[in-house]
Amino acid sequence: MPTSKTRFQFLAAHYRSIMKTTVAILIWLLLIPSVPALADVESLDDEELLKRVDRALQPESFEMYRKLINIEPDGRRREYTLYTVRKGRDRMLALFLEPPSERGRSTLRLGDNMWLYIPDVGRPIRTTSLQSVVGGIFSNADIMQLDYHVEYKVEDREDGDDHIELQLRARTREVAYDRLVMRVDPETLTPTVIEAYTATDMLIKTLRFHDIKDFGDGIVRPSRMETTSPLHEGYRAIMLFAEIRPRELQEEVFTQDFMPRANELRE
Amino acid sequence: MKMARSICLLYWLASVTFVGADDGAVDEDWDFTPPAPRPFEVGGYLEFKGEYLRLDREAAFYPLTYSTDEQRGELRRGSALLELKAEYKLGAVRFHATGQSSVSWDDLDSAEETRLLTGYASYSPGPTFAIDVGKRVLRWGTGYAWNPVAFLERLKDPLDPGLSREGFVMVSAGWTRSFAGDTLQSVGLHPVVVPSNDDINRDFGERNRVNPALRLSALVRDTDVDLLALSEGSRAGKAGMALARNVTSNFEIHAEWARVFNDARPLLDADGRAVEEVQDANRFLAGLRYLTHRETTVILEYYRDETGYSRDEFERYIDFTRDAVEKHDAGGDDADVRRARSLRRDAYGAQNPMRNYLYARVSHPEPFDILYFTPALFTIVNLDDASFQVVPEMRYTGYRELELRLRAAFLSGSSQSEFGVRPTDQRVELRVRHYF
Repeated sequence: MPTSKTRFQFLAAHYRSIMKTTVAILIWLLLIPSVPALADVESLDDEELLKRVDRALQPESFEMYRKLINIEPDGRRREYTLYTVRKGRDRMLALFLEPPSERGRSTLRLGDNMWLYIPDVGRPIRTTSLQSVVGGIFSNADIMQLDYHVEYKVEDREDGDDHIELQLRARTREVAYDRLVMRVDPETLTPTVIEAYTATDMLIKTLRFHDIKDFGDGIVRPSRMETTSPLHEGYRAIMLFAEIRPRELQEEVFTQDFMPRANELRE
Repeated sequence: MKMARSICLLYWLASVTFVGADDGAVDEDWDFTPPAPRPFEVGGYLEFKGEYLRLDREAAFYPLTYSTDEQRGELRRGSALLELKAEYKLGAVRFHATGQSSVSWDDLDSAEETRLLTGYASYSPGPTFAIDVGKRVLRWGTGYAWNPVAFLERLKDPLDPGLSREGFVMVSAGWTRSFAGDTLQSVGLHPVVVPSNDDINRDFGERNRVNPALRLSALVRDTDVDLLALSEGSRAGKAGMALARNVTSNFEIHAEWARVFNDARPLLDADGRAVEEVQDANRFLAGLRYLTHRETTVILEYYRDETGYSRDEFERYIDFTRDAVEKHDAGGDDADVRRARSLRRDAYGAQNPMRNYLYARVSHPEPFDILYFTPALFTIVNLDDASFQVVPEMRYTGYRELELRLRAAFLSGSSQSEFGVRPTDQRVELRVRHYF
């Protein structure tokens, strides 16, 4: 025979269980409109769709950590760890944390302008977006990638059953790849595969996105990107993402003068 | 010294034996936890360098460098160097220090040296403002091989522009503002004071001077613009400008100009007397960096220095040197040889003592799909006397934290020319660096 105290505990636990279920249902109901239904996606115009892809990948202003891994055909690998911040459409700063030979290097991008700061050189030097700062398949443009809608316009679009295919063309000649073919998952609105072509329609790179992860703050996106290139048969380049967070930063963070002090941003 | 050699040898063997290639096993576990920021960080590198030099016994500078009794035709040289960098964070204040310790030896001599390259405190309440106090290195300018506007630093080696250099004790501040417009995108103000007296910055120039300087930087219509000035004090007063701009995503141009006021240069006059000539003069540099579609990088720079020597002035010094050596060899006194040595050290033996130079560098990363391998070829041409040096270089970074660099240098020119009078004709150098 349960005492009045245990009966009260039983009722309280039952009540909590009901409340939890109710709250979960309410949250689910609230979330439904934010999950893009296929019909909603089809109604988006091309440019808006590309913008939604960009926002699904990361907020407009954010910080994040990335690990770049170059894997050679014999299995040897080189790893680089970067801390990156971005503000608005075209301001980005990336700082190398590892390996020791690259520690303290930073790359700043302001639109089409790009600078590289090497501690031994002691001052930022202008560099080009196509140049590779880490060797292997990654170029500066891959590391300092802006929003796709900033650099590309949608030329063509095909809505399939399980994916949307976008044909993207570079807005200016300054963009590293002249043409992209992007396959988008209509549920998460994140890319699954991107093929990068030159102006002569030669395939340079294929980027594949894997491992959808909830980074918090509503950011649900792939946490791994794998790059291969027909120009480097057998080589793979992996980019892992961590701690993607919205962050508001002062404009002056994105100046040459701040590049040597980029590490001060890490908290 | 023997102990230092033994330690270096052991370390080198350990590096080659145990560091080796990266682990062949591919870990397909993609967990990634970023490194947490730490209040104290330390890093650096250990470097070993071996050099082989072929000497030119007929070169005018040979007897000023080596004993004429030996008539040495070659020289082997080795060095080991440890560079440590440390940073400590205490609130908004950061303490930075860089130290170097080295041992070097060749067939004739050996030396050991320990130096503090930098050591300063930096206070920065935010990205718009910072103030630094202590010994630090300021790098002004946009040029790759030369920087006419580098008013406050030690001379850069155009063959190795990235080499660490010792700083000067100074107080410097930086204030930066960014703007939303396309015309003036950012502006920065950087005042500096480099005091010189018997205790600090003794080698900066004349002592007991304050030496204020200023750099005004701006990004204007995607062009880097720097206006710079150094007041007359320990060194001659200077004012200048530096520019850099990306014309396209694979083509960058840059330029520097400096006006030097009341520059005093040592000069050997027609009567063989060492005099000092005071003049206002210009220094100018124009350059470009171009990346081809095949990822070959080309750097080209032209440098003009009106404070340098003309061909006639340089040849006059070379004639004086040869006469001084001949007189000494014939049993005369060595006063002129000592004067020639002194003039070489202070003026004529400078890195690039004449007026017009060309620098060209071509490098291509990872040819034939050899990852982490970068061959390069560069040259410095003295346009006044048509002498030059050519340097082929191979760099490999495919081993974990290890950088291998193999270089050769070939100097060519007439017996009266800058590169022709140098005591070294050819040089081969292997450098191994281990970063940690």
